Amino acid sequence: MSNRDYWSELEPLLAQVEKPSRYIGGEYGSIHKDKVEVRICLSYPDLYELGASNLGLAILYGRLNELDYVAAERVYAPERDLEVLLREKEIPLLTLESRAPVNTMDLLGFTLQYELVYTNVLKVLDLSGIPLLAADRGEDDPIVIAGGPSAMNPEPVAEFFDLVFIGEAEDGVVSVADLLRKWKSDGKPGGRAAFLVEAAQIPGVYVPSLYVPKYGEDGAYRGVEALEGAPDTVLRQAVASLEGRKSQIPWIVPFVEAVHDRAVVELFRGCARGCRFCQAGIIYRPVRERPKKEVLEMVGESLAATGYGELSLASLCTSDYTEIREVLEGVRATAGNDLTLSLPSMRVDTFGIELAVLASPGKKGGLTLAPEAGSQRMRDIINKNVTEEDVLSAVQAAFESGWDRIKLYFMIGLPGETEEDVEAIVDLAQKILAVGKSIKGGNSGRLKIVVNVSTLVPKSHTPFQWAKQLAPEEVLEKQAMLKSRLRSRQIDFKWHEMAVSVLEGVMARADRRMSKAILAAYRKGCEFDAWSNRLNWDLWSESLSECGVDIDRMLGERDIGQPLPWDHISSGVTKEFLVSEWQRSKSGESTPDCRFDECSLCGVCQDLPLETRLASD
Amino acid sequence: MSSKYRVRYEKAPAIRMLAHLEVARVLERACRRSGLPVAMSQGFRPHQKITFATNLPVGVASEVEYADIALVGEMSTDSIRDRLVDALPEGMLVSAVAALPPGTAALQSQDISSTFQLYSAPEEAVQTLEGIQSADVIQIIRKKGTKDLESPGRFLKNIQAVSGGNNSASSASIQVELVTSATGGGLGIKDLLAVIREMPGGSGVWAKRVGLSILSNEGRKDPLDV
Ligand code: SF4
Ligand code: SF4
Repeated sequence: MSNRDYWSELEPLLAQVEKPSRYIGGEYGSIHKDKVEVRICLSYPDLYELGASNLGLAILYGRLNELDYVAAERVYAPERDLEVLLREKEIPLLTLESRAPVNTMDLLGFTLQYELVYTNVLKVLDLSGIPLLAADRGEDDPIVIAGGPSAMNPEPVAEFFDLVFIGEAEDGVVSVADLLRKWKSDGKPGGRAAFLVEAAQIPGVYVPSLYVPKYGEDGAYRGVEALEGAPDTVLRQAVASLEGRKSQIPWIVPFVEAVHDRAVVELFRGCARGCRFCQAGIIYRPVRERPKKEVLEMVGESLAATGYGELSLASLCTSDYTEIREVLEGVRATAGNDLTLSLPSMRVDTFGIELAVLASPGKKGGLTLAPEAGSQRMRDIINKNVTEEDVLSAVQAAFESGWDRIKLYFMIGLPGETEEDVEAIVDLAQKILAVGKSIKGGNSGRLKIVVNVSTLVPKSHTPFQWAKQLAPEEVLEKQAMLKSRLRSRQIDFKWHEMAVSVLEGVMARADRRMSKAILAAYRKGCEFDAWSNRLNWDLWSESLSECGVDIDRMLGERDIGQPLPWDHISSGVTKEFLVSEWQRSKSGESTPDCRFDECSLCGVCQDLPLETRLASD
Repeated sequence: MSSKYRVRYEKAPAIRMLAHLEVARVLERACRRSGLPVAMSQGFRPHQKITFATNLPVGVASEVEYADIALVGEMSTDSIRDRLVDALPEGMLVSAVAALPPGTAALQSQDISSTFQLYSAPEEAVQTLEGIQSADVIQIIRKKGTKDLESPGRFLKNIQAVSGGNNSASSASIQVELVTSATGGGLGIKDLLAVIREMPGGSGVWAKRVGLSILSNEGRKDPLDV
């Protein structure tokens, strides 16, 4: 190991880069430890200001630092300007806490919040001097692990990771840390390879190198073979209850202005509404609500501990929390009216608006609603149990309560979509504007409807995992149609860049052969792909075609009988349930929310030691 | 009802890379964490009544930064200091607090003298700075372009090499005094650092504000001497 004091070399150089406080650590609430047995570095492979707002990683940071033998530290992806300096001066990436080179850690964990961070994972590895391919790593390199929603199909990145954690990791990481401690203190018997086999015994830990993918002569994926010592399927892990887990959250208050610069309290995990395109709705089942008392305690504690003037009550669908009204009233009672409250993801009906009014009694900024589809037929296909009447009465209530700017989220490319279904987005937007005009009368000038249209990306583990994704030219056609029809001074049309959805779609259902293409794209200079202004589609399509990836095939419909690259990763939801949902979608049949209606036997509460937990129980 | 206090705090070398807005946010949040009854402004988006009297560029540290805080009611200056010390992150120690009598002029409305210590500067930087001091006109480079500054000696006062510090033989510590007027303009520490950075061996230069006083007809005054 080198004796260079990299930090003293790097620190003065930081004056030359943009926002140097991204790289200095020392934030209020960060945890610094000296002598420990296991050093772990957690990484959100994007810029600091994005990563700092990630709740999942913050929970793991707190959980691991509770262990006296572990130091959990952080590293984010550096911006280009710093990367150039690091390379020029031959300084490796350092952790924010101990400022040690990342490659001196025992474990390096990445959270994969979306597919488009894959090249950035390679960037962090590369700048740390860690071999990009797991197979090339030596005994002194850190064990590299991934987690997060995109890890539910780990195959496209399987060659980069030694381990992948499937599901909620707050207990699993402790098992991994324990194992590391034991293995190190025993003198690393059997080396890295033996450690990986041991790790594969921990529930939720997937060791890609212990699974050999098979391909047919036609190039079709034919499943994996698990090597000796590896379980046939890796089952998703989830905590049984959030009750009593509030102390685990540390509160790092960034120096840099983060994208979400606010305190966060998680109301519940899971969502059982069952929208058929939604991966989160499957992979976080079942619904587990935090008891109201603990929510309110956490609100008070987190505001006092951070000094934030803004609070977010986070969850997949915040207004579904069974005692949301009491929580909002309780928050106002403790925190007063100076607190800005944000409720991400509100449901589309008058109750949603009532809550939005409670959340922001004075100020009326923009309001966001997600009908997802324009026509009733489409909403039935995706199991979005919202009627046009719900939408119109919600916006009516919103206009009456003082909002004049409403943002609507829609998707194109849903299975079975016709031209009329896309046009229905335009019609609905116009109806909403008309409702606004009739309410605002002479004051209609300030009305603004923002129509935000994304493209369906079929995700693994969802009923739409077999669906066809729109081909690039189809996306452009539909967007052009919307653009030409949504020409109104008061309706703004925003769309997701075609290349972003196509690349996401190519990654989302890929098998292990995709690792080569990701590596090739990284080598050509691709990075920060999730930023539509930085995604370099030319370099990407070059890399994909050089590596033999057929984009049309990757976006195409899958056969129900065909093996899928993530079949050996189980979310706990059975394939039979997904098939039946896929079929029900074709006939527009809806499936109820199991929180209040009957259980649809999706498999989670049958096969995992889990059950729905409501705050009101 | 509300009473004002002037707080002196440091921006230690460890956090010298913070931008002014970031320092301001840290202090605002520390005020909320501390539970001090900071007065709020009225209006659409109420905010804490804190005035940042001094302002430092990224990369520059300081022992003497000042902010004026309005509290609802009165408190002893000692307990204000203690509460802030507990709530601030390392590197932003509050060293003193003074109560401001009503009508105290804001720091920004007065002429200020700052003493900066420059570290890791090349030996020749003293001559370079003296050259600036005695020039009739110099060019300063800003993001928006270059501009001419006449008689820079009005702003750049005492320049002296100082001994001590842990500098290697080839680099020096230099002290300079910079005067800023309430009307703005003039020469900033950033401009001096930019010049020295361009010199051979100057890329690692950095600065810390070590003294700050108010200039008035009666002479120099400590900002806490109110
Ligand atoms: S409401 Fe639908 S889209 Fe939202 S989290 Fe639940 S299942 Fe997903
Ligand atoms: S098993 Fe039943 S109750 Fe449990 S998540 Fe699935 S549908 Fe809901």
